[in-house]
Amino acid sequence: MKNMPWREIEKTLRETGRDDVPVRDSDAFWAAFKDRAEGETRNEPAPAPVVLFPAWLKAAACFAVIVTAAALLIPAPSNNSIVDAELSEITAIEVAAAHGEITTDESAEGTIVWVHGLELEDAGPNQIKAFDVAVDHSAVTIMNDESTNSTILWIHGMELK
Amino acid sequence: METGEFQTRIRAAKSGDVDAFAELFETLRPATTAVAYRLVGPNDAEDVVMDTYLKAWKALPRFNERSSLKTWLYRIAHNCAMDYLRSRGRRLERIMPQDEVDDRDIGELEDPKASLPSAAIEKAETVTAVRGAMAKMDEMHRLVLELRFMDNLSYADIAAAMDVSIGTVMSRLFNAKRKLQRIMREQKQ
Repeated sequence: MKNMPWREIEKTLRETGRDDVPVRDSDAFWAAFKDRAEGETRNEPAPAPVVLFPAWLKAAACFAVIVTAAALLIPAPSNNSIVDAELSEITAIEVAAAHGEITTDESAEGTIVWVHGLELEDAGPNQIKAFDVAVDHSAVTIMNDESTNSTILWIHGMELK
Repeated sequence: METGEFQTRIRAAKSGDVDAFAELFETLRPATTAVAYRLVGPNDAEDVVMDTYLKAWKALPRFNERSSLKTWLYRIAHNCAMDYLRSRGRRLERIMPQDEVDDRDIGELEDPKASLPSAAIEKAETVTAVRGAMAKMDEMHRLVLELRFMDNLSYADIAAAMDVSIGTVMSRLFNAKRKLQRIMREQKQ
């Protein structure tokens, strides 16, 4: 057998489906469920809270919170913008076609940029034409997920402090 | 199910109509069973599904509809599966179903491929190769492939079923695909 392309492996997995998963008969399941659910205490919606504070006190508290938050958000002077970059290590990205939105995730051994809903007729590994990264990284992988019409840009081993 | 009908049923189920609950959740049962099966294995999957549905029944009045009903249910299924494994001192590992033992004499065995046309033989070989490679994968990567391609779950639903972020799902999927292909290459050599 020759080396199998991913497309063929995926097709085989999809065709296999969940044939191996036995699902209990519907009537038997719901009869057992109703037996057990009967008399169970349910989590009723929480009642509306009692008003303890007058409106003017709430407004004053909100104002105080906003002022404090604004003060905290003013950045401290820094000589190294990269150290402060955190979620902005990808400084530029150029995509070949119209798309729905771009989301990122930093929790998966690197940074993943997920370009949703690309409107390319001929999907290939070239939807992401250019990008700039703020810090060193070990590798970059670009992959396409045809099933969700998305392109994933995965930047491995970003070394942000 | 149309939005209006869905809203009517969910309101009824929230206020205690168990038949409305059953109508609402029956369509999700095969997929929930698959999630439970993938997480705890064939012997305990039905118990986990029952626990999941009982918890969903109890918690439904407070379901705020910020996520889809399906994603919400898969998250409950994940928690139930983990509780189940913890209560039995087990970790997330599944025993792959074994083929039945064939105790016939060797002379009685026929070549299963003998009567198949060549395309069917190739197909059977592909299925065997993919299943063999899947059986050699670690649980975490096998699970994400099964949920994505065999159970056809969305990234969001897989994230709920595995209790990880969508980015982690993508990362795991990418690694799982590479791993599966590598195992298949090694199998071939």
